[in-house]
This record gives sequence, structure tokens and C-alpha cells, in this order.
Amino acid sequence: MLLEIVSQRRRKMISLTPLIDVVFILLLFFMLSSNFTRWHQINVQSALSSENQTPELRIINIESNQGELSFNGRRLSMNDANGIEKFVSENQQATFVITVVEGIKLQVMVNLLDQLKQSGATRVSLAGLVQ
Amino acid sequence: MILKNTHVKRSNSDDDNLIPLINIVFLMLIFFMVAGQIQPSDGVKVESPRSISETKLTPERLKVVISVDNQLFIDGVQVSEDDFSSRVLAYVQTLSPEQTDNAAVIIKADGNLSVDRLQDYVKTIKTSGIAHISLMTQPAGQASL
Repeated sequence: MLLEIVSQRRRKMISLTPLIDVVFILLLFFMLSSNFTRWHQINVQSALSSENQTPELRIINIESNQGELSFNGRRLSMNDANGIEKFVSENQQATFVITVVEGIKLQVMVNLLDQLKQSGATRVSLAGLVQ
Repeated sequence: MILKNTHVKRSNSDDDNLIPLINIVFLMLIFFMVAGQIQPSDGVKVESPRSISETKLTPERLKVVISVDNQLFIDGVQVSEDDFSSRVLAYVQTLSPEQTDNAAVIIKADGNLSVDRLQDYVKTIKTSGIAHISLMTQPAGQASL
């Protein structure tokens, strides 16, 4: 009689449900805590403050969050990709310096930086940040 | 005998049905463990500016988080605006002179923050002697998680 009981217990399978519970909890943890954003960075330097080199400076001022720009009294628009490209190709060797008026959003400034780089400008400075 | 047989079959198939489920759950678990990165949270929701910048983020630096409503976090600890400069100075003083030359700050600022607000903080960091300042950006056209 005793022997029979022991052999019956042995045959019992371990239940999978607790295992699945634990695995689900682990899965939830990793799903909620993991982050898939690939972060990048922009280095902030000021061409205005570096004294060891005196490159040609083209100071572009952002006038509004809608993308109105001014350069030496000349009006440009960020929405006018051709105009920006022409402006960059006219000043191949220059360092572009971005300055802003009050109230300009950071995203607008970064957009202009991207646009200048896409148009072929190699040296762009976010002087508006370091003024 | 026949009755007994079907009973045994049914109890077996209960667990058999679960095995593909567990397989998939395990695969998902492995995917999230390997592909995801676990980062400490910023403490506040910040939508970094989107940019085409391809410069990889350099780790091992002081992280300053600035939210759109001007809440400040230095390495995950919230600080008030008035305390900001003293906290940055305190950080610089913990560094050796050699480390100070290479000291760097990464700023995770909200894209909707106005630049003139950010200027003040950048100026504070510069005057405390840290030369390398970077802005954290996320790839254009990708939603943040």
C-alpha cells in the first residue's frame, strides 16, 4: 500500500503554470523597462569664442519659430530648401553661426543645423546657445 | 480500459498545448532582454529634439535633463534652478585637474524649450569650467518609447 502511493507521486508531472507565471513576469519587466531609442548627440561649440582660428563667419539669425531667417539683412526661409542650398554653395568655406532671437524653440534651431548640414555646410556652430 | 486511456491522453495534452505558448513567450523574453537597453528614467518626460546627427552618444558624462516646464535633473536627481550652478561646481570639484580638461556634459533638453532658457544653463556649465557640452537628440521620424 505504501509503495503504491510513492510510485503514484513519482509519476506526477510538475505543473507548468508557475513556470509560465514567472516567465510572464520577466517578460513584462523587460518589455516595460527596455528602451529602443538610439540616442545621438550634437556637440555644442561656439565659433565666436574660439580665438585660435579666425574663419569666415556667416551669422544666421533665426527670427521666428516658423523658420524666418535673416543673414546680413537678407531674408531667407527654412522652408525654402533651394534658397538655403544656394546660400550654402555661395559660402563654401565659411563657418555658419546660428543665433536666435528670444523665444525660439530648440527644435527649430536643431532643424536649421540639420538643413545647413544637408545642404553641404561642413562647419556649423550653435553660437545661439553659448552667447 | 478505453475510458482510462482517454483520460490519460487528455491530461497529457493539457501540458502539450502550453509548450508552444511557452516557446513564444521565451523567445519574446530573449528578444527584449537582448535588444532592449535598460536605462535609468529621467524623472520627467522630455521629448528631445529630432536631428539627422549621426554622432554616437558618448557615455560616462554628467547628464543634465531640462524639461519644457524648466524642471532640472542632474544625473537623475532633481535640483532647483538656484542650486544648479552650485551642483555643477560641486561636480567639477570632485574631479582631478586632468579629468576636468576632459569633463563633458550631455544636455537632454526638450525640443519645445526656448533657446534663451537653455542659454543660461549652458553658460553656467561653461563658467564652471566644463568645455565639452553636447545636446542629446533622437533620430528624426522615430517615436520615443
